[in-house]
Amino acid sequence: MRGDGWGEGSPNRAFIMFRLLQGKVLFFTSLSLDYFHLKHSACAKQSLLLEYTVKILKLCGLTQVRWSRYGPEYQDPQIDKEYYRKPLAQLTEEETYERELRKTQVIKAAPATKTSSVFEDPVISKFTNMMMKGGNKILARSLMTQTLEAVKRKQFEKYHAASAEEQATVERNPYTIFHQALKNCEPVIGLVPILKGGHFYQVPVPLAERRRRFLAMKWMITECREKKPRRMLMPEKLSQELLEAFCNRGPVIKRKHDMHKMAEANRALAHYRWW
Amino acid sequence: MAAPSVSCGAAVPYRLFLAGRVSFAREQGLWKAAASGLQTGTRCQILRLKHSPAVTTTKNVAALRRESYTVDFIKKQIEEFNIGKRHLANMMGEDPETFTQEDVDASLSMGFSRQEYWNGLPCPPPGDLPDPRDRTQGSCIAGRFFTSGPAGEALTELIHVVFWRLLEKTAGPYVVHLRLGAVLPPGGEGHLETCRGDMCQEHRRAITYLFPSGLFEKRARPIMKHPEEIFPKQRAVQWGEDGRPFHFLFYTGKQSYYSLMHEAYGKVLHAEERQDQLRAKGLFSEKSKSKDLIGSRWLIKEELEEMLVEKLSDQDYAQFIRLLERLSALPCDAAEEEFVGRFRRTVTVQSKKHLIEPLQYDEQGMAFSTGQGKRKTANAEAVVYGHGSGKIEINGVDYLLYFPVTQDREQLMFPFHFLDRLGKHDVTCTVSGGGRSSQAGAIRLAMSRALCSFITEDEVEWMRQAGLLTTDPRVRERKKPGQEGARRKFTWKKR
Repeated sequence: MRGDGWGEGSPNRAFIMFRLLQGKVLFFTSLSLDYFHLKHSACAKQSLLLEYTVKILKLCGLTQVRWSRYGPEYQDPQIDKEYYRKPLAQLTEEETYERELRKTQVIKAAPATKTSSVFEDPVISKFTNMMMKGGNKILARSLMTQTLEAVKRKQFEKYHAASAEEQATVERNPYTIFHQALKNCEPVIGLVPILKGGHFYQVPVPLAERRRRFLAMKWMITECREKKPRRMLMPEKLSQELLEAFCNRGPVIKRKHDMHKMAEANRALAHYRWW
Repeated sequence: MAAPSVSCGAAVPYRLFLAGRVSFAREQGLWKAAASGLQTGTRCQILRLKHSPAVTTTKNVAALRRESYTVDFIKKQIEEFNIGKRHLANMMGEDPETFTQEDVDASLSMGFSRQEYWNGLPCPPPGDLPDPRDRTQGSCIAGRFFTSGPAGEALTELIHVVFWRLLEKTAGPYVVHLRLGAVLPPGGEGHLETCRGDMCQEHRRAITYLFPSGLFEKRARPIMKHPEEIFPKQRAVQWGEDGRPFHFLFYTGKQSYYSLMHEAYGKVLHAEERQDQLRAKGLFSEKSKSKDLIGSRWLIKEELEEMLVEKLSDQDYAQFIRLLERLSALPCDAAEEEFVGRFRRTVTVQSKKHLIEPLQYDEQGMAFSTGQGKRKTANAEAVVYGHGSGKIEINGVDYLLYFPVTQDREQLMFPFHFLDRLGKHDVTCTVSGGGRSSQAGAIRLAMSRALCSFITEDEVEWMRQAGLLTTDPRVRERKKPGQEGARRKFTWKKR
């Protein structure tokens, strides 16, 4: 079951960190060079320098500090099988152009977490990664599957306990429940601390799509970790929260509403925003 | 360069005044230094360092300035290079029209023993060799355009030596069957015949002594470089004898760039005018120009700088490319297309450079193919059989037991699922090194490569675009000194 595609976006967006002050960047590069100066021979140093070259984009004074083993020309892979199986006759002009263009581009290797499997869901993968602690993906993934199983079981119990009319309304697919619950938890507007006149004011600000998704998932996970009774396991608590959020109830939804109320209260400060 | 700016009346005396002040201060300092020197020796030294005498040291400005070559000099170099190339080709028996560095390399790499190599070479006897720096004879031509890497310096000198002696000894046209460099008789005439005189033992020993064994190393071999590659491109003098510049945009500082922009903009206006005329007549039609946009790219800033022999800024470059894109978006005629084409470079249309191995067959007649894969420190080799039931065996163990984690098994399944060949192949693979995830990734790559032999070219391209055929270059980043890990710094403590 695939969620709505998040779009692979432009290649290194996730890895780019912008520094507004060029001085800091220079400091970083000079430091890194100093460390290697005495320790390494010339050829090793050169290869290290090649590795650690800082790509400086002189666009409006922003500098790109994070680097990647892939060069800037590498494009993200397109893993969707249906994209390739589409017959050429049905392609639009843009698509044919894009296809031709991709033939000239070098592509990165597919990451270990992505496959063309039908069971893969980008939302679930992202949520699993956010739940992961200390790199223990195995545990995170098992918790996720147990959560979905728990959701499914609860829904099936409800289904069997319900009357014939109500059975049609009971949603049993854990993936739809998961997606809908997270969508219900997404805030529309957020607060940003802005420094003005020596004080920080909480200014209401419209949130980007990915920020909203992130906040929804973050609130869900934090809620489950903190407000969980001691003996209860994570899958159980998480399934409970997901079902509540699916019905627009529960603490996560409340937190979203609180955020909206605060934004409404600080409406007067909206003009502090300059973007 | 330009005439010095005329300073206004007040500034000049001010500068003199300042200079006067400085020199006065220096004098005072010197006095002070002298006075204090009477008291303490060490302090005097320090003071002396601070207050150095006002006499300026003359720098060798000419040496610091970049060596500039005249146009005639470069032309002469190119002529000599071409002649020498043709002669060398003739000597080596190659076609002079299509003579390249590879031919020089090929002849040198034939693996002869050294004695055979230098057969037929008339060589001076060892001993009384002249000063290698003496380049009065024309034999220096050999060294000039046959240069090579670090070992080549010494080599060039030795070539000078040898050929200088040759000229001394032999009169008239002579030949060298030395496959190293070109030799020209001083007059530069034609015929050279191979001289296969019998070489005496001493001559052979001389050669083996003179020419270092590094010659057999590819990087030490002479490189046939066109003078364009050796002498950097420089600008000729931009103004005449009267001091007036030739180009009308000289005072912009970037005359080539601005004149190019001027030209391009003129073309844009022209094209727009034509478009308006066509529209007025009603003959205007939308045409798509996406055909050649894929196979080529705009030249990069460095290439443009090289072309114009001028330094450009990023904004200049961006402006220029925007203008060119605007021009290419309009309906162009042949001249404009050619103009735009000058700034485009071809790009490899298909980046599938990996070779697809042909299928192999074992004793039972079963088709199979091998592939190798790497990921971090894991190395894997996979043998994919044409017919099977989807069984995967890794190091003699079934994949379900070898990879208990679902994610790894999904990675193994990925290439097959992508090609809709899930239960159709049997795989036997060996893997070593790395951890569980990197082993899975290495096997995935090995299997994908092996599968290339079973599928069509289109499917190979699909796999490439899905990222299945690229080796993941990401490796563990090293820990740096002064930090706890690769990125993590030590806890900052205020004191």
